[in-house]
Amino acid sequence: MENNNMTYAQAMERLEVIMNDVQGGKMDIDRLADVLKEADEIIKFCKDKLYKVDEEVKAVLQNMAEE
Amino acid sequence: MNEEPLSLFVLNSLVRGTLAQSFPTACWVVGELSEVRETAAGHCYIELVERDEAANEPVAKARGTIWARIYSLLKPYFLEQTGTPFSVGLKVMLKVSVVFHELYGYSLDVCDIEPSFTIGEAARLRKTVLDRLAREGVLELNKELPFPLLPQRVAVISSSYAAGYGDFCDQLVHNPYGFVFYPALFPAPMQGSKVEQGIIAALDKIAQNIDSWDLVVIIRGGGATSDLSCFDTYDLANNCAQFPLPVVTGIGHRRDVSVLDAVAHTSVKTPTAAAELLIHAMAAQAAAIDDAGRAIVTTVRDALGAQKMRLNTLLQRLPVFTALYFQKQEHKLALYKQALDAASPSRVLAMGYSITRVNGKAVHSLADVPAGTRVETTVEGGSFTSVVDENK
Repeated sequence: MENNNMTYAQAMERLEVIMNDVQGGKMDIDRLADVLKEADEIIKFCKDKLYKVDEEVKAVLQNMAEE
Repeated sequence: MNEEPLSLFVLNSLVRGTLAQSFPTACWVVGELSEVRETAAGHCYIELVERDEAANEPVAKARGTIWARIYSLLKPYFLEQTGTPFSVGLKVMLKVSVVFHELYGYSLDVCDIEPSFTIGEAARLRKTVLDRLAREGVLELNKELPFPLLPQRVAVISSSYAAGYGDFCDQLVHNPYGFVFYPALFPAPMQGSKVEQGIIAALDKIAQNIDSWDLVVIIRGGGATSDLSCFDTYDLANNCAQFPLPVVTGIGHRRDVSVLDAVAHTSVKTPTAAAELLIHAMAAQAAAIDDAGRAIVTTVRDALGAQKMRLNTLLQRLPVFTALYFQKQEHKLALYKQALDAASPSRVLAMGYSITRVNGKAVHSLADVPAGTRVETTVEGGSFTSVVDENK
């Protein structure tokens, strides 16, 4: 899954799907490693949104208010 | 005309006497303040009007005076009770003495005020606006918008010099979790008659890049008692209610809920509380992410564990299964042997049957043995030969 164009809401939805699949035993055991890797990437993507300053967003929004 | 004309002073004196007789004591009167003017000496001159409700035209008017001795007590008392300064536009209930001065004419001397009347009037006005918004179906519109999952890009409407915006940003920036927020200020006056127009203009500006913002926060810091009536107007409420982003208000008040608060998506008391609201929303997401991560790791571990257990069980059972398998096969073999034994020729010969062969081949039909054929017959214990005499 490409993370670049994903919104936060989509990312969280994808996480839920993964969790349900794994919990429901629907996950092919051969794919578990891939799934874990994907989940890890999504979680990182989500956390970045919360904790990492996006300088571009910051600058654009400041400009909009000051224009 | 044989009566002597009266001097104006005498006439006015008569009017004064008659009025004094008719109004021996002070009485309560209600009206709208159309003018409030304080003098350097601390007196306050007012003008009171009554308007025809439908046409909004004045139907009665009177000048009045609040002497400094009274006004110095009445002014802070009214502000404290109503949260609103004694000012033009308010509906007030005043205790007045009717006075008439030969030179200055008719006027009212104010000696007391009933703030609860003004509070009641303001509440009645708010209710009128709220009823209209409800009737037009816009009252709940903003509340129906989903609150953003991550309320980070915050368009703040506040006055640039007031403490409210600073408090709000401080609170956001120094949140203990280290969440990132992008607040930006859209300045607007937060008190007085320009509030409505100012906030609407700021909302319009935000709306120009609506996708860039997650929500709007309208905040005002400051005093415990401050005039809220500027947040009660229909146009302001209508604009906020119909705004496509959730509006959070923190305009600081203790007593009443303004109309703006009533239409906002969420209304809190102070700018600091507004910041807390956003931080909490973020914390909820942070917890959700952590939960999801943990849950996935746990379930994957469980799934792997279950597979391992299945494998172990199989391995443990394998020797048992193998032994059982061989036992079964042995049993089968024994049965076959029995059946075979039952059908062996030596057993048949022992029962008195014999086998006849021609040239070593068992005879199956008469055609095998025409007369004169030499045959060999096996019986239990040996064999003998003979020649076929007759073939019937």
